[in-house]
Amino acid sequence: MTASSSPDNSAKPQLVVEFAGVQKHFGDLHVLRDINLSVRQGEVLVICGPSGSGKSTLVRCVNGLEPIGAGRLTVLSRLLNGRFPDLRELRAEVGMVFQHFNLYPHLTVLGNITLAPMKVRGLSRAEAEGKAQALLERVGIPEKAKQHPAQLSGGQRQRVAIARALAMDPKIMLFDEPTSALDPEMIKEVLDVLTDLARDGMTMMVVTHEMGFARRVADRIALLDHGRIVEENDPERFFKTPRDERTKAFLSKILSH
Amino acid sequence: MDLDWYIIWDYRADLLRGLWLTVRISLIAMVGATLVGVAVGCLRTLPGFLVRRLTGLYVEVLRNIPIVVKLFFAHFILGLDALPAGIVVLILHRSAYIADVTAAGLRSVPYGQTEAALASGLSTRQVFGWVLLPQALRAMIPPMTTQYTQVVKNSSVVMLIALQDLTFMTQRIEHETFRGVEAASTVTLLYLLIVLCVAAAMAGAQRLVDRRLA
Repeated sequence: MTASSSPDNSAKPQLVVEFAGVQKHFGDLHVLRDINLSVRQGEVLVICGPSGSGKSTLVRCVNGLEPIGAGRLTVLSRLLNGRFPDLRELRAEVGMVFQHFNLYPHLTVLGNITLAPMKVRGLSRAEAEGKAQALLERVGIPEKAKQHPAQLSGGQRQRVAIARALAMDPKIMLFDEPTSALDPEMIKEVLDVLTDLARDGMTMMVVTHEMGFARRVADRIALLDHGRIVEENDPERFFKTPRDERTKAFLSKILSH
Repeated sequence: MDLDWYIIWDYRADLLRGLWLTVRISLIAMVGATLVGVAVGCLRTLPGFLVRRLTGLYVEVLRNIPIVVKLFFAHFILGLDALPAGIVVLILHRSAYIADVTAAGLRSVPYGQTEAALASGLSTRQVFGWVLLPQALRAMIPPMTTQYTQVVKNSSVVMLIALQDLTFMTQRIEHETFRGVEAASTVTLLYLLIVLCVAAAMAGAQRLVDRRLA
């Protein structure tokens, strides 16, 4: 992958997400500063950085959970500027997985996965459940279909959340620290699912502190600090020859343990 | 005091008619107030400034005007017939309280639920109907029990516009026979009976919801 600033896009895969000079404030806090970033179809972009650097806000802008301030944000050929863009169609095509899973506790695993396909896409219950069962197979927990989220382990819950997002046939998947709330032994089972997805060609933006995963799976890694992208590089160069001092400092902290 | 309980037996037809009217008015008002109140309560939790202000105004106005004043307004000024006036006023009055109960219940659901539902492409109405309200229900049932018992008790104001409900029959017995104590005691027991039925039904609902959300 070449740097995103290249003007020649004609021969390259289609741009799925493009931030151009995006700014965002929470009151006095300048959370995103002049973000220029793009994700192409089939690409895996890992976003890392210290807490409070704006990583979550960045991915949450992509499906409009956070409105942007100034600048231009284009997702799947839709411009997300303006105060009240109609986001429903876009969100149906953008899957999102949260740090704390956010499964619906009143529904079974099957109910969680089939809700949006039935209500948004208009699938019949039989179609939606067939698809849900296949997705549970894919994330390795077909036997949990009839259980409620409270009966599952953290790792299982996050895999259900991934299946729930995949049930909408998303064109891009957003992951907001998908393993940060998990016990160490459950992190691997979730990262394995993410790795499989990446191998299957899913376009992904992943906020994570899992540097081993980033090194193995990412096409590019972006480091955020105080709302600014301080480094954006392929994994090889990101880890071996970082350009920015802050990248070096961040890597030394995160890789030393 | 010398009491004559046979008088109650003599008036059994009137009392049963009164009971039936009270039950009917109460049930219709409960359903109506729930529909209106839950809708207003949902709107109250939306981020829009105008919709929050308007629903806030709705709640404050209806909650702060005495129910009898509203009843006279509907019947004598707007000229609604007695029965529709009574039902409409009971619905409006109670919906203001139910709106608050609903808003409180919705706020008890973590915001991550809203985000996950919106992120999957559901519309605002679908988010309320399929994700938030089913979860809010659990917290709403105890205060809703209070609201429903209030509907039953408040329904007695309709006698002021000459509807022949349970309370009206107390007056009739008193006027015709001077047996007010017997009449009031009987009617008290009948109201208690209705309210206990409401409480039992709500306890059953709570068990059902608890089991589903366990």
